Amino acid sequence: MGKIFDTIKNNILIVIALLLALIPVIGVPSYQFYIIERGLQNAIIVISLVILLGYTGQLSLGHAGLLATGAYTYGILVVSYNVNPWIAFLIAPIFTALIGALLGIPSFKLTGPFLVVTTIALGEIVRILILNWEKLTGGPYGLTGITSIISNSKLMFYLILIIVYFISVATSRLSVSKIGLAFKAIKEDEVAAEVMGVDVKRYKLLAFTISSFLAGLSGAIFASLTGYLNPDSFTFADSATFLLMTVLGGMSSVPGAILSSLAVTALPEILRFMARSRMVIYSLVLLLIIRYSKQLSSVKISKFFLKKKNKEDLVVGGGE
Amino acid sequence: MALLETIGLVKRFGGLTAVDHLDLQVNEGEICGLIGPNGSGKTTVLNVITGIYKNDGGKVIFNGKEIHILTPHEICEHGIARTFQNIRVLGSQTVYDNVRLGLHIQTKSDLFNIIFNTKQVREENERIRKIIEEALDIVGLRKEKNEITKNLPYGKQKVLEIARAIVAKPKLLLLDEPAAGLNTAETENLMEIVRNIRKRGISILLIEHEMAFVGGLTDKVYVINYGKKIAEGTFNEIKKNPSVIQVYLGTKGDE
Repeated sequence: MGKIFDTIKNNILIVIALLLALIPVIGVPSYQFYIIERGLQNAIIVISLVILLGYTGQLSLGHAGLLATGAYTYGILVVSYNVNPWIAFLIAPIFTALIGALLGIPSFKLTGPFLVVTTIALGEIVRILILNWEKLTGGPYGLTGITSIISNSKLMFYLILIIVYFISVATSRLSVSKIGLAFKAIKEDEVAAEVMGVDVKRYKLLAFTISSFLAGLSGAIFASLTGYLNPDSFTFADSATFLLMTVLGGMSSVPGAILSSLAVTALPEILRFMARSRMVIYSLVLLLIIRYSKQLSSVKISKFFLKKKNKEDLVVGGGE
Repeated sequence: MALLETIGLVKRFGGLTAVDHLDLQVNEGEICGLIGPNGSGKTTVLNVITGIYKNDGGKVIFNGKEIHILTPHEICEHGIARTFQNIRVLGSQTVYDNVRLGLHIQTKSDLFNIIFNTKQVREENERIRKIIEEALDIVGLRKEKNEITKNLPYGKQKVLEIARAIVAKPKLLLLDEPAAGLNTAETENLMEIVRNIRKRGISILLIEHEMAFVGGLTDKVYVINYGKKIAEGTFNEIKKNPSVIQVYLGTKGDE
């Protein structure tokens, strides 16, 4: 029966992917097209938070720092060292994963608010480092002239879509696997997990490493999309926005993460006609969505499927 | 040689000596009881054996190895599983997944195989499913396997914890007050489950206040008070032991 549920879940992903794949075919004005690309790029970092927060229960408010690490690694390699963009695109997430693994070490001892403060600190350290290491990063002037991995914007869109789809499928598989279960056990009860043989430290480190890898990948795509990097794109407020997208998507749902990333990325642009009151309305809409998201969220939908499945089981059980 | 042996085990919390030079032995195939008044240090003994607390002195030897230097997950790998006094199941996961957690150390799938959902992973999932269903049959939770655990009644959550522990294929199972909070019928059922587990070659060390339960199951009972062993022997022997009676009922003219 688990398989049927899996198929339904995977099909939701396929449906989302196919709908998105139609966008370049239909033809969308280039700015809106860019926003959708940014939404998908954000989806990757939100999925990274789904793994870290939704599964493992480790709250990070420093993911903008990891995004920056990925973005600047890609940018600096391509601009200053003339590295082939594809190779830079591979190095960036790996390097970010190493930095993120360092962040995992304090999580062995720190929990709750203490860990959150540590992650905020990491985010700030990275941002301030970028701001002041002018020779390497361009400091407040930013890093310009970053070549994209693919110059054709439609092909770039499909590349991002394929990456997001692959990550979504992989994350869904991870979720139901031994590793996913160990993550969830850590979230719910570290002592129980440890006593049942889960090496809690190792798995926390793994969660931080996977999450940082994805954050770095998202950063490399960001650098590739914008062609320009500036420390202002990686502030605490950005980390908070990623967290918001994660919570909005139902915390541990991959399709939810994708949809909420697209929605929250697009929302300020949709509201742009409101000019000054834009951010007020933006915040208000988000509050309303969070208030009523229980009725909307994909978690609810998946629960619906699960319930249906249980009923079938009961019928079968009664017949035996 | 004993399967589990503690030699002069000491655990202190600040000035309080919770476990005081305790010597225990659990032989292979035995069901041992550990009893004593509230606060006598029984649960602390289990926590030291499973590595949740580090001991302050003495040794824990399991299967010929000193395990007090190991971490809890390593101790689990050596073949000790346990349940908790106040159940520690994963409330928001299904019953099935709770038992699956017990199979953690036996599951070999790595990240690569999981991501690409290789044949190895699919075969392993199938193998695991059979083990889990078998364990759920032993404790009588087959029908509830897809339920979210926190929706189960207390008694079922308790036996679920036992199912989770036995799929880990331990040599020794530690049960911390398994019958607490269960009604008479549930307790009877639990005794049957524990006997079944012993038949599978798993030795058991259990803490329990329910004396009918201890008397009906154990081969040997240790009585501790203030962390010190005050008696050991069969249940019938310790029942007559004056120092045990004194601890539980007080001496004449004590009031």
